[in-house]
This record gives sequence, structure tokens and C-alpha cells, in this order.
Amino acid sequence: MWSCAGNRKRLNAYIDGELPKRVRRSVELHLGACPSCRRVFDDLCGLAPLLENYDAPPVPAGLSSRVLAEAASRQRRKAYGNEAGFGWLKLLFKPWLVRSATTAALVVGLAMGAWMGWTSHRSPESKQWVVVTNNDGVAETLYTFDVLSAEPRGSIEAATLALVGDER
Amino acid sequence: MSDTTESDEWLLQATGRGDFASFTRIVERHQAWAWRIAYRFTGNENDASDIVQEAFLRLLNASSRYRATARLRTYFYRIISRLCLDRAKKKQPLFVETIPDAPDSRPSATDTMMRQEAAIEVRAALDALPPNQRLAIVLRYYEDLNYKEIASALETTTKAVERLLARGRDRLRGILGRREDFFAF
Repeated sequence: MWSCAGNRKRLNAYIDGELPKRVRRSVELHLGACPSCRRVFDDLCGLAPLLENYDAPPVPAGLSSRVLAEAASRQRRKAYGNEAGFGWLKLLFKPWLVRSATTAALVVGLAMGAWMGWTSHRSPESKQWVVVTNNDGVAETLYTFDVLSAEPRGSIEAATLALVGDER
Repeated sequence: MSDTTESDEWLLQATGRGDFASFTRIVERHQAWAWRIAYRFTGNENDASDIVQEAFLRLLNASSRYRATARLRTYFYRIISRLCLDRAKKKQPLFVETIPDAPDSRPSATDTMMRQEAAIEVRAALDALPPNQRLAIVLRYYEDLNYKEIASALETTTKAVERLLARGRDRLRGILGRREDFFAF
């Protein structure tokens, strides 16, 4: 015969008629001899009549008409799309394609950013930092406006650097 | 028409070939139980109607790819279940005390009132369950599905269904058991 724990583990399947005949018999033997398990069993069996109190209302009038109208409208749109030769457009909105395109755009963006950063860092013309000494002898560091390349001729950055150079 | 031509599977295949009348037959034939599941799961008429509509539209969409290896009902249980669980993820159950009048043959006003009160309690107890337990309980108690069918609908194993039902029952027992005297009418 089962222990109480073993028996209770099988009670749900027993109530639902999902146990093989031999196991059912063992559960029944235990229930016959164990008042505590019998109480649990009675409680579980008591749920069905309680749940019966909750009826579903009838299907709302017009639900099937609503479903059929929407279905017909979709069918028409689909047929129109196919006739107009827009069937291929559906491919554009496939989730896997959208995900792949997003990933590819991210990878290309990151690669371009890394490449631009690398080339500007390596460029001998690139001036990223200018060290200036003022009258008090305190070194101040100014940051140029363009960190990716040398300052264009006639730009604000060039004018600023020229001014700073004169002061020095 | 013979039985074969009237079978759900035949109708769905005909729908896939563009026969809209067959789809109409499917909707008429299956809307009642689809509605019952969706309503008992959500407890809300609008949500249940939306789920049923979306389920039929998905069925229509899939009809051209349908092969009669599985019964339409099995297939449709799965669609409804997915939609119910998706809806539960998006929306916490909203407990509303207005339960629509249930068909009741008993004439006594007291009985009717008590039955309505009981329905409200059961609704609250169902809402207290996690969505997958609630759906397993609905499919088992109200649609009389066996473990294999519930497992197929929920896309899980029969062992998992047994556990879901056991936990769901324990919880319901805890909630409704406290009101046992109340229900004893």
C-alpha cells in the first residue's frame, strides 16, 4: 500500500481517471484505510460541484457575423494584394527579416564607427588635444572641436587653434 | 453530404482552397465552445469575443497550410489556449462583480441570488490562479478534456498537466474551501 504522501501525489490523476487499473486499485485500498487521505479526496471531489456554479453566458448575438465580416474583409485585402502584385511586400514584414536587418544595421554601424575612430586616431594631421600654458604657468588642456580629423581650413576650430597658437 | 465531406478537417481543407462557405460552417460549429473557454478564462465578454475572433482568423490564415494529420479541434484548442495565455500576459485579470445572468430553471429568487453569489466567488477564485493553471482547470472541468488533450492544447507534457491541475486544485480548495458553508445550499 502507498504511503500518504505517495497516495496524495496520485489523487489528482485518480480523480481524473488517468491512472492504470492496478494503480487505481492501490489508491482505493489506501483511501479505504486512511481517513486523512479520504478527507483530502473528498475535498478535491467537492470542487466539481462548486465550479459548476459558474456558467458561461450564451455566445453574444452577432459574434459569428463579426468574425465572418472581418474574415471576408481580410480575404478581400489578401486577394487585392495578390492581384495588384504586392504579394512580395509581405516578405518585407517577416519577423525574421526585420530582426536580421536590425542586426545587420547595428553591426555595420558599429564597424563604421570603429573604423572612423581608428583612422582619425592614426592620422598625423589629427589634433585632438592642445596643451596651452597661460601666464601663471598653469597648463590648461583644450579640446579641439573635431576629434575625428584635422580641423578644416577656415573653420571655427582652425581659428581657435590659430588664436591659441598666437598666445603661446 | 457524406460524413467525410462534412468533417471539420474536410471543411478546413476546403477553406484553404478558398471556399468561404466552409469557413462559415466551421465558425457556426465551433464558436460556442471556443467562446465558453475564452469567457471562463478571461471572465470578460469583450476579451472573450476578441480572443474568439482572432482564433478564427488565425485558423483561416493557416487553412491553406493545414494537413489533416491533426483534428481541427485539437488544432483550434491550441490556438485558443495560446491566445488566452498571451492575453493574460498583457493584462492582469480584472475582477468585476457583475456576472451576467446565468440560465437558471429554478424559480426561487433566493436560489438564483445565491447561485449568482457563488458564481462571483468561483470567478474570483479562478482569477486568483496563475494563467496556465486556470486554463488547465477550465479545460479539465468545463470542457472535460483528458490530460493528453490538455497537454496538446498547452503544448506541454501530460506530467506537467497533472502538476498544473494539482496546484490549481490545491489553490481553489484553499480559496473556495473557506466558503464551504456558504456554498452548501
